[in-house]
Amino acid sequence: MKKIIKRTKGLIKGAPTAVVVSAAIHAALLLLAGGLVVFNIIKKEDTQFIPHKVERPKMQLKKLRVKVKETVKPRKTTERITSSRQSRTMQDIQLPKMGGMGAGLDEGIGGFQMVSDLSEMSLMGAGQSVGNDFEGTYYYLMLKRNGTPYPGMSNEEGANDPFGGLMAEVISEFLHKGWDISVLDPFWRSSKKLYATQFFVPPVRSPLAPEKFGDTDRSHEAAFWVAHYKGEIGHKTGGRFRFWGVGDDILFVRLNGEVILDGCYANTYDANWSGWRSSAKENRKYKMAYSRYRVGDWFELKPGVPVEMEVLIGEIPGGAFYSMLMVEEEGVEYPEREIATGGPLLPVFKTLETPEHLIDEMGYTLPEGHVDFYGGPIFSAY
Amino acid sequence: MVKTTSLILFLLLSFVLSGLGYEYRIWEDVNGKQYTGRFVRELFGKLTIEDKEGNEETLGIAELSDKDKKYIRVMIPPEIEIEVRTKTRRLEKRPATNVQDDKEFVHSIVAQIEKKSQRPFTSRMNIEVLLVAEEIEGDNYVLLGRFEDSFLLVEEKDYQYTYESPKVQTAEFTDICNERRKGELYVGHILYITSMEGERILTDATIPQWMQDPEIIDKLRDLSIRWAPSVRSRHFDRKGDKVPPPRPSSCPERTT
Repeated sequence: MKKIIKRTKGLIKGAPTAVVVSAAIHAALLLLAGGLVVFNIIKKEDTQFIPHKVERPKMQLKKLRVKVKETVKPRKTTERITSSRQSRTMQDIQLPKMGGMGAGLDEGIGGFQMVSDLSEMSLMGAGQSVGNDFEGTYYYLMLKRNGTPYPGMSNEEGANDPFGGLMAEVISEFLHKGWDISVLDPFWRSSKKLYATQFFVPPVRSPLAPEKFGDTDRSHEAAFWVAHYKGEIGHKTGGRFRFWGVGDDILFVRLNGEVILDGCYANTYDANWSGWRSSAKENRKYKMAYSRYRVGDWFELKPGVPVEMEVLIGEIPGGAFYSMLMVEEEGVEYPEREIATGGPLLPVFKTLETPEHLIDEMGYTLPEGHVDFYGGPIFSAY
Repeated sequence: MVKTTSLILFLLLSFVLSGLGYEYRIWEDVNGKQYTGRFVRELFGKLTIEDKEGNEETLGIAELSDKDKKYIRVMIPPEIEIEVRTKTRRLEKRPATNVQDDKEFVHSIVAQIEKKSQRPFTSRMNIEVLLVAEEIEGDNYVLLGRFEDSFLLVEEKDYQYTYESPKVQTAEFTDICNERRKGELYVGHILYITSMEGERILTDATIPQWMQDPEIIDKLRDLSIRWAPSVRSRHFDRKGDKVPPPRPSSCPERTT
């Protein structure tokens, strides 16, 4: 006992009082800090994050439906030129050039790298399907399928006479047989298809079509050709519509198997190849380019229901060509055109928005005020 | 048969590379002696550098350290001469009635690029070409095409590179509506050769001086990207801004 007291005394005796006080304070602080940490850790575990509920409007997302067409493969029996004769014409037939910059120029302009399919869209269509389009096939009636001249199909032999010439005979047969493409089987056709979302070619030269469809043989006269387009149209909310159009020389429109517009040039329209006549009082009343509008039959589209549509455009003697198809929607009031004959300022028929570069092309040879390039419905079937 | 309608020769004799844009750095010769300055010019195997006070020093390339030799091989483009020819060919006319007065041409340029320096240059060089026409009707100009490529002039013996631009087409015709002449008349080109760092090495141009304004060229570059698909949508005015193509004022009726 004595020893213990002695030791204790010695310890206290050897240290200053301040050290003892300081040690006590530090010990107290350490104890307090430890308690706080423990307290905080425990508290952290107990804390739960409860997010504040915010009402946000939900966007109505629609499923994107894109019609994907399979690559057109040449059919062995139909696409190949089978003649064994080494004619000049045969040798000159070339495969279509696939350059993306050939807008109106059969030599093509290269070097621009585009990514959008619509960037390739020309007045006659694009080389690849862009979805919701019309597949176009080009027939050159001056040549047989094997590339040799088709007898009698020339201006010199009177094939251009709309009242009984050979062209009238062939196209009338095609129309009266329910747009039977086998009628066109004997004629040369391009292996290149074009995919169009509208039919608006302003006054141009007739070589445009053969060049766009890949017939690069410049010895081929730019005459006696037709292009047959087939696709589907639809309308989101439905409605009643009718086409207004005019072609130089050939423009026919068929919907669900029925001709609903003969928009042919004056003498061809008068020759009445299709047997269809317009019942509209506005028919051939209002000027369009250097001719007058033909006005089609009313037709109805149910909401979201696709309908098959075909268009035949073409050129008979060669030279000037145009093909312009507009659309009127029942109940819509259109501005009056400020040109001599007046008439409604109608929008271009289309299944997709017209690309801006095409609007520049459409206007290059057509005066302002004839057509509305921007407005109107989109006849998307998908 | 190719018909060359114009032959334009632009020989840039003793083309001297400007020192503008080169960095200040430490140069060292084989003996370890150092110089601080930036590259100014290279002439007859000698290099001139300039310090920040504007004092110039000439050093033999052969006497420089390996590091500096590599710097020159990679970073400093050699002297270049260029000879540019414009090739124009009239296209055969496709037979059709009423198109007798139509004319169509294809144009391209061929640039013969020759390295004048003996020393190798191991970096790629870029070539950019803009081809321009004017619209016959009205005051518009037309960007026919803009093309880019790159090339190497690596070895001492590899002196030449021949660049041929893609073809562009022009057409002259009588408008069916108002019977006025329309279409494009070829004007010329502007060609740039630049280093990979974007340093302008050489410019060759036959387009009017006002069109060579860098601001206008930038606008034409934009035009070539945004409006590439159609030549009709690449019309521009004297400011280089995109304008719509001219439209016929009327279209007299011929038939109902």
